Amino acid sequence: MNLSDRGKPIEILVVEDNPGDARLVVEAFKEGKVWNNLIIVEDGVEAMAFLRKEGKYKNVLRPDLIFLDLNLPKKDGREVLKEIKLDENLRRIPVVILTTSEAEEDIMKTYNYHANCYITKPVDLDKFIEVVKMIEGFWLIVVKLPPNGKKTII
Amino acid sequence: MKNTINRTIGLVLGTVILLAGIIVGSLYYYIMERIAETDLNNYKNTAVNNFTVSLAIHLWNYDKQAIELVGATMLESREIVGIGVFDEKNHVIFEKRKIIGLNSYDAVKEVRHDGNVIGQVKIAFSKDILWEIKKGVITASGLVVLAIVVSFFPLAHLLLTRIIVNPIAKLTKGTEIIESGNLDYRVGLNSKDEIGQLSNAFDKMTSKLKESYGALEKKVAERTQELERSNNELQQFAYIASHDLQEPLRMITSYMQLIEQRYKNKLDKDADEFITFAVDGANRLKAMINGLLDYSRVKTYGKPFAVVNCETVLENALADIQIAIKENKAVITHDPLPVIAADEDQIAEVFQNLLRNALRYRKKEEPPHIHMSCKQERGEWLFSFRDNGIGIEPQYKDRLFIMFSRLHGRGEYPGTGIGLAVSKRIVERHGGRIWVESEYGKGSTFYFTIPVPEQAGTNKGGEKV
Repeated sequence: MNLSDRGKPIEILVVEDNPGDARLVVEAFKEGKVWNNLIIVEDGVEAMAFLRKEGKYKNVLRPDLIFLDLNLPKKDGREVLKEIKLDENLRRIPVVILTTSEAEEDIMKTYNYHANCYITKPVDLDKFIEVVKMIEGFWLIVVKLPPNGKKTII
Repeated sequence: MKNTINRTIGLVLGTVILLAGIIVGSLYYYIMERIAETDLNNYKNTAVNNFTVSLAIHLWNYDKQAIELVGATMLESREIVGIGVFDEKNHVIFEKRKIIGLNSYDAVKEVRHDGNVIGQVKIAFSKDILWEIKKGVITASGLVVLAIVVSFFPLAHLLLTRIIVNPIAKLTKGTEIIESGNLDYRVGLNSKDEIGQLSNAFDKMTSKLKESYGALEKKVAERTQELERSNNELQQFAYIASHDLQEPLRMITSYMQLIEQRYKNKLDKDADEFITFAVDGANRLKAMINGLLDYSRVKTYGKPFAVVNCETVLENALADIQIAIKENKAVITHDPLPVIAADEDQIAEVFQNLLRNALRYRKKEEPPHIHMSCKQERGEWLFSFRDNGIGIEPQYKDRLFIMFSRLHGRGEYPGTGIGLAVSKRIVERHGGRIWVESEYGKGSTFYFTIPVPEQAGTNKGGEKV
């Protein structure tokens, strides 16, 4: 795998309650080009705790990219998205909505809340892997991610 | 109908009154004649008596001059055409005649004095002149009577019309009003006679009709509501079922594929076989669920109809299945195709389904030949897809369009049995029908219709029709 620009792995937070789907993301990223570190949380509350470095997440690194499922227990993915994009410290992190829903109103709502993009989970493994690779290719290689700002702690 | 009854009444009435008129007229005439006759007799007698009285003295005195004078005076009357005065020996004392018609009759009377006959007087009256006078009176009064009798005609006619013809006309109009759909109308003729009864019976019948219509409509509305509800439920069910099945399906197919990729050739041969079957099953399950989703989406995702150029649709469909066409060395021809009012994506799906089937169910020895044509018939576009494939046995023709039904084993021909069911639903959504005619072993022709809308849209500007 190539090193990222920074010489460190890209930190990716995957918020997914279905362990099967989560594992697929992991497997798909194994085939990827860029050195990455995947962290998986299973519900919206954990996600926000992680992002805000609360409790057991005190020392985690801020993610460079978030994969967010919409239908989550405890706190819904749409809530999480809203909170992320309203939070000054968090809103720069690109959020990729990866979900089963094809409903137009979901798509509309999440873009309204400033999701960076919306992807429907493909049924086929091969397609799934392709999509994940495309995401990686776009967001991690083509796109310039916002500076992590680790040096300046706000 | 009013005309005929009116005419009949008029005719009957006319005849009756004519006959009555004739009878009354004749009777009247006869009676008047009798009266006139009596009158005339009286008149004659009176005239003769007067003459006799005035002559008596003069006759006794044998005053010829006086007799002549009286006689002359009498002759001045129009109706008297002759005077004769005779003595007791019947010798003429005075006689004078007017020379007019011979139709006369005489009145004779003896002249007496003191009870002795001293002479005779004769007066000749002209029948014609007398009758002339009388006739005038009779005719005049007769005409008056006739006029009175005849004038009964319009009066009687009016009454009969009022009593019979008008109510019947009203009843007839009532039937027309009710026939045109107004079940609240009541004829309402309340006369106590048979026509009134008829009207009441009719109104009662109309009320009953309205009631049963109402009850029927209510039932139909209820039934329709039930059907709609059931339909919606089924639709929802199909959609939700296939939608919610996607997730576990994804788990199965994805991990089966993962295992296949990672562990094929690392386990024993049996495991490979098991995995292959499992993956195959999962893939078919995926196809079926997608088919179900497709099926339920025909209605829920159906777009409003717009102008669709079938030539373009066919070109695109052929482009999509280019590979299959080349692999099968298929020859596809078509007649000019029309512009129709439809949902373009759905029509494309139907074209693709039928083309794919034709390619799939081909004869092994012959390359597939497919010909498409279309003609307009009775307000519909009739499309036909003819192929030279394996054909369909007649007993299976109807089963073709049922969801998931297949006529061949999976080993022989691939397929899920969804294409035709979805095509049928699409065609029916457009208001058409789909069916197949086939000769087993020779080939099949699939037909489907798309109705032509009343204002056929030939605008190519994408205007919605």
